Amino acid sequence: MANKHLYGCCLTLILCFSACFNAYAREYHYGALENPDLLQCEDLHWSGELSAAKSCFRGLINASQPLFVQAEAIWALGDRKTANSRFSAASKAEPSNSRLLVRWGALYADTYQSQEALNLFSEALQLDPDNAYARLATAEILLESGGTDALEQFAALIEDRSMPVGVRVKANIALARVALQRDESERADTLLDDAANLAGNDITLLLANYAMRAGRAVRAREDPDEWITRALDINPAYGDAYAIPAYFYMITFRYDETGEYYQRAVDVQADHWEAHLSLAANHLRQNRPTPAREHYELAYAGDPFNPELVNSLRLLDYYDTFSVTSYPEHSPGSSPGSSPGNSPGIDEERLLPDLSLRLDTEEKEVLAPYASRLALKALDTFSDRYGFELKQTATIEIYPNHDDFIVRALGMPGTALLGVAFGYVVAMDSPNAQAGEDYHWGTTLWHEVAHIFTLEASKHNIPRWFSEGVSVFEEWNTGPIKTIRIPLHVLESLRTQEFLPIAELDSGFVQPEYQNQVIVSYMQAGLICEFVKRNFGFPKLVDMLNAYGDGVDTPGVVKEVLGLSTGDFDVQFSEFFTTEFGEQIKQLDEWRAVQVQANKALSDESWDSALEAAQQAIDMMPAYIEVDSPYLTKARALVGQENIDAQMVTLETFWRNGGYEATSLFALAKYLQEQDRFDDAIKVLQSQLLVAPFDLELHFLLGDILLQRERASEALTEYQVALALNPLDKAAAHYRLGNALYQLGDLEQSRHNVLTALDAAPHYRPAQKLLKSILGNL
Amino acid sequence: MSALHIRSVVTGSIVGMLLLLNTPSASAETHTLLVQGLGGEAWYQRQFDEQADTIGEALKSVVGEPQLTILRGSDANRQVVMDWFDGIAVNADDDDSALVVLIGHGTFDDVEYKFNIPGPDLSFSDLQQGFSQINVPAKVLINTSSSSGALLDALKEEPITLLTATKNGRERNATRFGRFFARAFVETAADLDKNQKISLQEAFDYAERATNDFYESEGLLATEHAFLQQPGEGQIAGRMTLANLGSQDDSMQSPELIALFEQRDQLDLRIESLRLRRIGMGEQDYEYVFQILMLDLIMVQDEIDLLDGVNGE
Repeated sequence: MANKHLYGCCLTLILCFSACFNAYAREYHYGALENPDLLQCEDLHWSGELSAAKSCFRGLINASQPLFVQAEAIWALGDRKTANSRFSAASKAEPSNSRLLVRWGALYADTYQSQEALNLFSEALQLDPDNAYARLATAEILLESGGTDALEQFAALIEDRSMPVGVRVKANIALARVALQRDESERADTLLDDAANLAGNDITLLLANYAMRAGRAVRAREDPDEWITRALDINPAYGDAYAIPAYFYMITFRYDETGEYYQRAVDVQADHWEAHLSLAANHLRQNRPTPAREHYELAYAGDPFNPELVNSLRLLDYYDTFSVTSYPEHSPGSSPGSSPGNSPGIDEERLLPDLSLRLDTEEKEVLAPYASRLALKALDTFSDRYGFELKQTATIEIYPNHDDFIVRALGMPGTALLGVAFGYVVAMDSPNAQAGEDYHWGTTLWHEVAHIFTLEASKHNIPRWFSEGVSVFEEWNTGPIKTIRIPLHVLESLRTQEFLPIAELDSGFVQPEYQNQVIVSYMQAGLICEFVKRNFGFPKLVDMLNAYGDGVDTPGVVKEVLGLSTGDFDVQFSEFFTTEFGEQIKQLDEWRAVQVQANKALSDESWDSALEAAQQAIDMMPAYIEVDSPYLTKARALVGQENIDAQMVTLETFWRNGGYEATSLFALAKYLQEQDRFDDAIKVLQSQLLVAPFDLELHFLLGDILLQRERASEALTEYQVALALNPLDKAAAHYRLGNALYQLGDLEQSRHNVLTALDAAPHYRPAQKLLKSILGNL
Repeated sequence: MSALHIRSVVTGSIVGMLLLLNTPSASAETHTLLVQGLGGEAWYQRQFDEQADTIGEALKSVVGEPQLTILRGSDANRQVVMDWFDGIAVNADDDDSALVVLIGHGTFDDVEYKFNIPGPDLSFSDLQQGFSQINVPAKVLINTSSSSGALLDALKEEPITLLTATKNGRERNATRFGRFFARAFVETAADLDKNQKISLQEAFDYAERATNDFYESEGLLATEHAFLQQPGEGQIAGRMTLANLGSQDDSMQSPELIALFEQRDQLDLRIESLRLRRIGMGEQDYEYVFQILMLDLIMVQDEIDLLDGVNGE
């Protein structure tokens, strides 16, 4: 078990840098092909004469041509299965032809079978250890899978002047791409200049260079069109001229431009399946499922091997089954077919609901009351704090299956994110997607909604670190758990690792260099915002956001808003951190030793020793409220001593400090109820709705106490949710509903529910008595 | 071995009988055997001790101490179990019932199921032989052990109501079902019809749901799927009471109370009859008639409470 709410969040598809950058479309051969007939067709293709190229390739599919030429031609015409058979036959005919193996491997890579591709490249290298194309292709696959060795392999290929020019050009382009992902524009410039010099007069070798330069322009927030034009002058059907800058728009969160450029890519090259896929994903990111499906289906028709496409289409089928509710309810967009009109809570000018919740139908009744309440509160809070009114409806999607959510976020499963924000659209895990964990979904929602504001208020001109920093900062300051929570492993890392300079903080998210660096970067970003608030005042954070929105970069923002150089800022921030957390970091080992001691004593049932050690750990780090918190150890030791009152005092302190361990807090709520501290019991239980909303007993107990406090309307909600959870004891659920409705004066509905309860349990005495009361008042 | 406030074992003797099935019958009795198997590890031993304590106490409240045989520790051996069956075979009347509860670990080697007890294990063949020699209309076997589902196929042709913690013999992991099944005996939430009694069906429903919820909430793949198999029309599980949640001392009932109880029983039958006709009625008509019957029932219950001196809460 582990507390979870954070730091599996991401703004957008950052994590799929490599995967998303796989093949844009058909790959240029960069000199891997030597057959003159093939080269003739290739030249036609890469100069944009697609019809002529197709005819040319078709002409090569005959028995007079070598098998590998036929395979290449068939592949170029899009029939990858037949191409594979032909390569297989060619390989049998020429088992020691390493170049053929490399091309066959490239076909496997083109069908997303990386391991098989690597095997073939490896075979090629065994036959010919100096095979440049095998080395290049191996490095490319390693880069896609996130292997850091790949960069060294590319560098080695560039340095080796004996390598074919095409190989060195492609290696330069690959490294330039990584540099641009890391926002290292100068490095990218150098690499692209070198690649251009190597290309000489071979204009086809310049195509990717120009496209990458267009990407570089996007990264630098300049107009990419000059470079796009140059590429299209060489090959008017070169979709990558648009798709590469589109990609860089995407990773800098500018989704309007992303969509525009991917659209242009498919306009000039209709069979650019990767661009169709990315365009579809962008439509979905912008809450446009219909065109998303259209482009997914087009992409699938052309590239059925792509697992991301298959996943996305399956997700879209599921997506269509979601229940959609708009808030405030009864707003113009809240139900299909409703006509616009003035409703309370709606901006009369834009006539849009504030919030749209997309929930799985089986979770809707349970999550909707709490998710809507929390999200609307978050929207109000951030609107006020950042002085920004949303221009569109904020959409929140909650997924009961983690893999579905990850496919929604990244296209492929297997990543430990909890939430993602695309702008006005947020997607996140439901508590059911994190079963077995104490997952604070309320905090995740709060965090992601904060991203909506930072992204939209800055017009998507915002570095990752600042958006994450504000989200973390808002969790700590205005979220459901208002406390600064730094995970222990982060403090642990900071004993040996330095914080990144503020100007380079994005790289901590994008290209982490040690295991914990992404989470360390989240914390650093949050703490920077906290530091700004404390030393310069909260309005300066808003000013920073607006300055980013004006296109100012981080050094400029720090200078303009805070009057500091980034170097001075880093020094001051470091002092702040040392003051706030230096002592905790120093005593981390001692704290851990005391924790171990407390837990050992607890398992030995040495209650006094456990209490003493747990208290010592609490005194050293009173804000530590994760699942292994010493508060819980102390509470368990007090149970051992049968000192229930003291146990509950401890649990209450734990809860007031932000702790949310479900079982302990349910016991605390029951205790508080027994002590007639009803309002505190209600607060404890309501806080747990953001952790365990599918806990039936939680709703029954909360409803009962609310009803006891004559808060019948709120009690009714809890009972309705309880009923939606399909309780075994339906009689009890309907009786409670009847009781709440009775208190609310809805006698007819009350009668109906009580009769339903009695139908299941005729001898249910409280229900019998309630029926008498109802009928006496009807 | 933990303490149990019931005689630990009476080998081969049936001392008394008591009504367990709710079906009115003046002389019908239920002979009950609870066997606690080996825990193996201390944690399981504690679990099984607690389950046997809870279930034993509850059954005592229904069956009465003399009719309940509880075998645990070294007493829970094959010979004693078979002797118990022999005794029932000799002493049971035609309208009696037999209930056997097995708490512990089971194994299944793809050929035969065995319940782990000291000495030779209790095998499927033993259970089949034991039950087959008893000539009573209601035979019930509750087995909360791992692999207990192996009995489902093996006993499906037998007139035995069978509750197992697993759906087949291949679900071999130690089960959680027993813990929740025992909890049902003392949990008001398991009393779905609010009659202050826990039937076999209610205990099963409660434990099955709680077990499923456990696996879901822990994010674990469920390694057990409980099953309730009833012969014929399957009425026994709903009618067999396993625990009383309220006091059931009927010995001091006045003639007036007895008459009221009869009235209440009659109303119960009318309600049951109405339910059977529900499909052919409109929902509003059903609710209307049901409400009238309920008001009669409430009136009778009010009088019972008045005479009984209880407030009915």
